[in-house]
Amino acid sequence: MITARNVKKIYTMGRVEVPALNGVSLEIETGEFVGIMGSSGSGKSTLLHMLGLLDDPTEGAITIGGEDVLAFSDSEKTRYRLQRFGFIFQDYALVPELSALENVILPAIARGIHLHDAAAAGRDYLDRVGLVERQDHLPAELSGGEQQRVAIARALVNNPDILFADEPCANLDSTTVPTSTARTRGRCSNSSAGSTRS
Amino acid sequence: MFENLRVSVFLAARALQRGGRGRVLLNVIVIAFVFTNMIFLPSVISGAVESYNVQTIDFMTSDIVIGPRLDERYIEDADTLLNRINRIPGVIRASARFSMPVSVDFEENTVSIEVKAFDPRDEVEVTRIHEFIEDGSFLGSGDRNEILLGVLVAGHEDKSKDFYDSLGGAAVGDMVTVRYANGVVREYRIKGIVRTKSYIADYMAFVTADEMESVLGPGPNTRASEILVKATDDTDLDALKRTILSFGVGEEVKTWEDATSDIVAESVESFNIINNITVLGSLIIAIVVIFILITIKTFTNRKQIGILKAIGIKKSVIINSYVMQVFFICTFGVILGLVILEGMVLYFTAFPIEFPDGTVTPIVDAGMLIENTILLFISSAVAGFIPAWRITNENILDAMRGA
Ligand SMILES: Nc1ncnc2c1ncn2[C@@H]1O[C@H](COP(=O)(O)OP(=O)(O)O)[C@@H](O)[C@H]1O
Ligand SMILES: [Mg+2]
Repeated sequence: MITARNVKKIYTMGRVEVPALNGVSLEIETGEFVGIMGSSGSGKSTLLHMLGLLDDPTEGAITIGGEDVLAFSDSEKTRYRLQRFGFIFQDYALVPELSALENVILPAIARGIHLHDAAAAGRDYLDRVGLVERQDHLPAELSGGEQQRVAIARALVNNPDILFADEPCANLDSTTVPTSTARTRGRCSNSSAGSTRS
Repeated sequence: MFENLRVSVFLAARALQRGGRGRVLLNVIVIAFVFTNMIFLPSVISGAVESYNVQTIDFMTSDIVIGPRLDERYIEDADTLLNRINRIPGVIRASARFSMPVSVDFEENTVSIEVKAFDPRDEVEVTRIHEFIEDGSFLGSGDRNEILLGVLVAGHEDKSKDFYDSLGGAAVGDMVTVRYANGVVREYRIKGIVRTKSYIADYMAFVTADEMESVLGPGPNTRASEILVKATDDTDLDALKRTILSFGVGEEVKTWEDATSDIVAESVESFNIINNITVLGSLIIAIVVIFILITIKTFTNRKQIGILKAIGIKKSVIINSYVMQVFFICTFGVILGLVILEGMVLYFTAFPIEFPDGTVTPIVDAGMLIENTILLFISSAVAGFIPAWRITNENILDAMRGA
C-alpha cells in the first residue's frame, strides 16, 4: 500500500516560488491501478516523482508498505527504486549510449541477473512491445513512440512491485497502444501508478 | 560488489564504444605522450650518468684508484705495491701513473697541462685510452722521444674553435717542446692524438714511464702519483679495496665510485631534481587532461547520469564506470607510450645523442617505468573521480532535465 499525507512540493526558482503540489493525500492499495488526471502543469509528474522517491517533497509524509520511505538514506532509496519500482518517464529517459536491448536489461544486470538471462528476458519484453528487431538500435535511431516502448519494456523487466507510468502512451499510436497497455494494465490517459504487491 | 563492478564495466565499455572513438584515441595518444615525457628525460639523464661513469672507468680511474697518503705527493716504492696487487685474485692488472705539470710549446703556442707517464704494457690493460687514438698510434714500451696528446691539447688551427688553450692544430709527426716542472726540457715527436670525448682525458698528454724516469733522474725507488687497478667483471670492488687496504699500505684506496661520488653525486642530485620536476609536470598535464576529459564527459552525460540514478544504479557504480574509462585510456596510453619509448630508445641506441663530453644512449629502468605507471594511474583515477563524483551528487530530476 502506498500512502501520501498532505504532500506539498514547492519549487523555488530564485525568489519565485512555484507550488507544484499543494497538499496531496492518497492511498493506493496493493493490486490497485490508479490513474491520475489533470491538465498539464497540474503536478502529475511531480507527484509521481515524489512517490517514486526521485525527489523529496517540501512537506508531507509518504509510506510504502507501512515504511516511512522519506526517511531512507540516498542509497537506500536508490536500492528501493531498483528492486521495487518500474518507472516510465514522460520523456522516456533512455540511456543514449546504450542500445534498445541494453537499456531494457540494465536494471536487470544491476540486480545481479546474469547477462545471458537478462538479455533473454530483455528480448522477450522488447518482443512484447514489438521492437525485438530493433534491439541493437540506439535511442537516437528510434522514433519517439519506439523510445517510449523501449522505456516501457525497461520499466517492466524487473517485474516491479510498483509501476509508475508518466503519460506512457502519449506518443503511442492506436495500434501499439493495445499491446503496450496490456502490459502496463492501464489506460493511456495521463499519469498512473499501479501498485501490484505493496 | 561483483555485480556492481559488472555494471560499471558494462557502462564503461559502452561509453567507450559509443561515446566517440576519435576522442578516446586522442586521449590515449595524449596519455602516451605524457608517459613518454615522464620517462624519456630521466632515461637520458640516466644514460648521461652511465656514460660519465663509463668514461671515468675507461679513461680516468679504472676500477680502483690508489692515491698517495694524505700528506704525501707520491706513492713510494710503487713497484712493490704493483707486484702485490697484481697477485690478488680477480685483479687483471695494475698500472702506475706518474703525473707532472708541464708546459708544451708548439710554434707560437704554449699550453700548461699535466703529463701522465705510464708503462704502455700495463696501461692498455687498465684503461681504454689506446682504443681511442684518432690519429697516429699509442705509445710503445720503449718509446723515449715521443708523446701522446689529447685532442683538446692539439687543438684546431683556428684556435677560436677550441674551448681550452691549445697548440693550434699540432698533428702527428710534429715536434713539440715540453718543459717539465722540475726544469727539464725535452723535444718530442707527436706519436698519436687521443680523442676519448672525455673533457679531462682529452686535455692531457702521455709519455712512457721510461721517459719519465729519465726526466726525474735516479731516485731511491719507483714513485707513482696514482695506481690504477683493473679487476675482472665479477669482482666485488669494495672487497678488493678492503684487500688492498689490508696490506697496510696507508694509501688512499678508492673504487671508481668513491672517486667520482662527490662530483657525480652532486650532479645526480641536481638531475634528480630535474627528473622530479619533469615527472611532476607530466603528472599535472595528465591530471588536467583527464580532469577536463571527464568533466566534459560527465557534463554532457548529465542527463544520462540522472537517468541511471533514477532507475536505481548506485552512485558508486556510475563513478566507477568513469574511473574505469580513465583506466582504459591510461592502460592503452601507457602501452602506446611504451611502444613510442621503445622506438625512441632503439633510435637513440642506433644514433646516440651527441653530448659535448660523450655520446648518450637513454637507459630506461624498469623500476622507473613501474613507479611512473602507478603514479600516472593514481593521479588519473583521482582526476577522473572528482568530476564524476560531483555530477553524480546532483539532484536526480535536475540532472535528468539537463542536457
Ligand atoms: N524543477 C522545477 N522547477 C520549477 N518548477 C517546476 C519544476 N518541475 C515542475 N515545475 C512546475 O511544477 C508544476 C507541475 O509540473 P508537472 O508536475 O510537470 O506537471 P504535469 O506533469 O501535470 O504536466 C508546473 O507548473 C511546472 O512548471
Ligand atoms: Mg508531466
